[in-house]
Amino acid sequence: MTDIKHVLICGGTACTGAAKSSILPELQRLIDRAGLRDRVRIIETVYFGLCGMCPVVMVYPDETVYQRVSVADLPEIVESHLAGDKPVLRLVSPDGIDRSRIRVLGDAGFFGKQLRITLRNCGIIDPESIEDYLEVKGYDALAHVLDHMTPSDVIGSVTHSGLRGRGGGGYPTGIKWKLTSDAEGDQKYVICNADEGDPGAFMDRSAIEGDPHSILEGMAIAGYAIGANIGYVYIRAEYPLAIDRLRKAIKQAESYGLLGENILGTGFSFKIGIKLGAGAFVCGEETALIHSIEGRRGMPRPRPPYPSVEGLWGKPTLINNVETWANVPPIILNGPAWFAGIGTEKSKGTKVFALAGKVNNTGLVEVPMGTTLREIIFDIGGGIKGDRKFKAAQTGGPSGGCIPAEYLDVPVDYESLQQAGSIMGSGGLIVMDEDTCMVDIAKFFLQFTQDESCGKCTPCREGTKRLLEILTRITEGNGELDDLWKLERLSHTVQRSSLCGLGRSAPNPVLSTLKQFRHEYEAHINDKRCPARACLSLLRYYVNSEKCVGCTLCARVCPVNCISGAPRTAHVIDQNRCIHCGECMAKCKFDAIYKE
Amino acid sequence: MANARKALDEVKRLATEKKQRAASETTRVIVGTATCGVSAGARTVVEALADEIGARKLEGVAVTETGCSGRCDLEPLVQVQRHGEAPVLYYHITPEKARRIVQQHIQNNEVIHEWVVA
Repeated sequence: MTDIKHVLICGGTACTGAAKSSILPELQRLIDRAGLRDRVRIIETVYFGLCGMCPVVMVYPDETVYQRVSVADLPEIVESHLAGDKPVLRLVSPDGIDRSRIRVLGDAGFFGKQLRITLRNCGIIDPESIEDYLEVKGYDALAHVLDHMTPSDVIGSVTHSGLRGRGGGGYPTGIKWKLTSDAEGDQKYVICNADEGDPGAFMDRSAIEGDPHSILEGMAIAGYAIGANIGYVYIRAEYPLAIDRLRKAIKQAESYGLLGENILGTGFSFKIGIKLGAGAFVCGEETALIHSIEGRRGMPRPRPPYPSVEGLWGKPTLINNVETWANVPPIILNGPAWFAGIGTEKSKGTKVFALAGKVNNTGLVEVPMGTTLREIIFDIGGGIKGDRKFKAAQTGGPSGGCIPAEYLDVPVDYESLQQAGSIMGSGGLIVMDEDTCMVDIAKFFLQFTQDESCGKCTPCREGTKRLLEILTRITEGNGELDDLWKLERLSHTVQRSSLCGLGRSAPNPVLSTLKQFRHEYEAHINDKRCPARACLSLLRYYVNSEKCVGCTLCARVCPVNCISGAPRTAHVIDQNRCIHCGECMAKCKFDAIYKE
Repeated sequence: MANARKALDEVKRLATEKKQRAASETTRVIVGTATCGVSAGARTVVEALADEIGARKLEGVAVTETGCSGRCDLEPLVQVQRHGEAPVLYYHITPEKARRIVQQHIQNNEVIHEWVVA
């Protein structure tokens, strides 16, 4: 079979203009003319991460990569390489292209606008094989740091890269490293915060499951930079596969001398242990997380002192999120200027989002900062399911807010999302369509925070409960206009008087929906109507007497027997007894039951 | 200076050697087995692939696993890399489809176009 050649040509949206429109037809023409039609197959594909070198053309079986190909180069490629088996060396990419990235085929729309740094190896290497990771420059950054950089060089690199905390806070990572490095202490610790708790978020889980070594390598580099020899990964027990792969990865790295005592013979030692969390949302807060590792109840404490000065067992501790750690090795390898060249003025690099909800392509995406929500949801996400109308995007989980359609073209970064009334958060992105009730969404998140409040601060413990009561009342049609004012006032109280981020941000879903979708609240209160037809208590099911043929099926499936009518005559639903289960509407074969 | 690099090169040499043992490998079948893949049935796909490859006594075919490529909605994803050919990515693979991939694509070298991610 080797006499057939495959030519892969980049079909990514970033360079489609260049590659698809001119190169593809010309290449096909030249191949036909050379009589190579049966021996060469052209495949349109996606080269993620190579967009700087586009248009890219790759020839199999020898895996030759040609970069910045122009139409004028094509005759030479066809004649010399495709017909004559001699690659055109002057066009071949210099070393440094990570070939593993070029492996996954297909799906131009999904991968075209993405840039994968955190997820560079996810879906490509075998996460349970350190040999696979070593092949894709694994542990090169660690060796480079140990050989050629002083700890302060490393901190300088991270600072200059502009990397900010990916757990949601957006605190400059370099400054955190410097503070921990400067803090005095005979023992220091490095912690990976993998306590991912936002509903609908799975960025960290996938990063660990797909490429555990990049996180371990990032932590070891930080250990060298701040003078720590022990690290912990704090991960929730609900992630058994991620935990299993982390355990295997640590064991493999130790067996090759890449973790543990005297790493690569340099005298630097760094051990990593795993601590399992029991799933309390508040343990994602760094001081609560530290308490949990220490074996105490997971409750936040006031800061300062910050963990960088007084952290785990009172020692200086550096805590970063999974995604932040995964960015460290590429920053070291490619240099801080490379990283700082990606993204917006204040938000550098990329961000991973877990795309969920009413969107066609649910999954994990990584885009450069500054990509718009519209590009993420409509180009990468493939638009709204069932061609419904987009209503809002929820970012930041229970600490975030809902972003309405008028902000779809805002470039996504830490600052602009805040201006749009939400937050970047850890990367959950839930897409909502016109069938989603915004009061119901606020209620959902309050249910979550009310459950997860640790109870230390009264405003959070009691406030979230009362907020939930008011929201429930509104969705059941018992709300009063006065309730909106109460919601706002209580929200501000909880925000101002809670100790940690959980309480301080818990009212955000309420405030943002009140601001952007106040009319929906008002419809629930004034008209006792849910505009999205989602709140069950406010729904009324009716029989369309013109369409009803009297087949009696609805009356038979109704669990409370509230539908009456003689055979072959239109039926009637008793509104007083109806429990709004929707069973009749689902079963009717004549489309004769509607709700409003 | 450069001691760590030297030591790492030695580590990589050992690692490559370890991988080389499977040099007779001509085809690699890669299944996405992150949580998204597993919950969509990737485990049964891995088993079906291994079983079918064994039943057909195909030599040089290795089944390996990988993490989440991002298309959680298309899982289970199965990638077939025949040596020297462009890799092919299949989506929504069931154990039955997996067996057909072994028979049709791996054994007879016919790509099943209707299941390829487009």
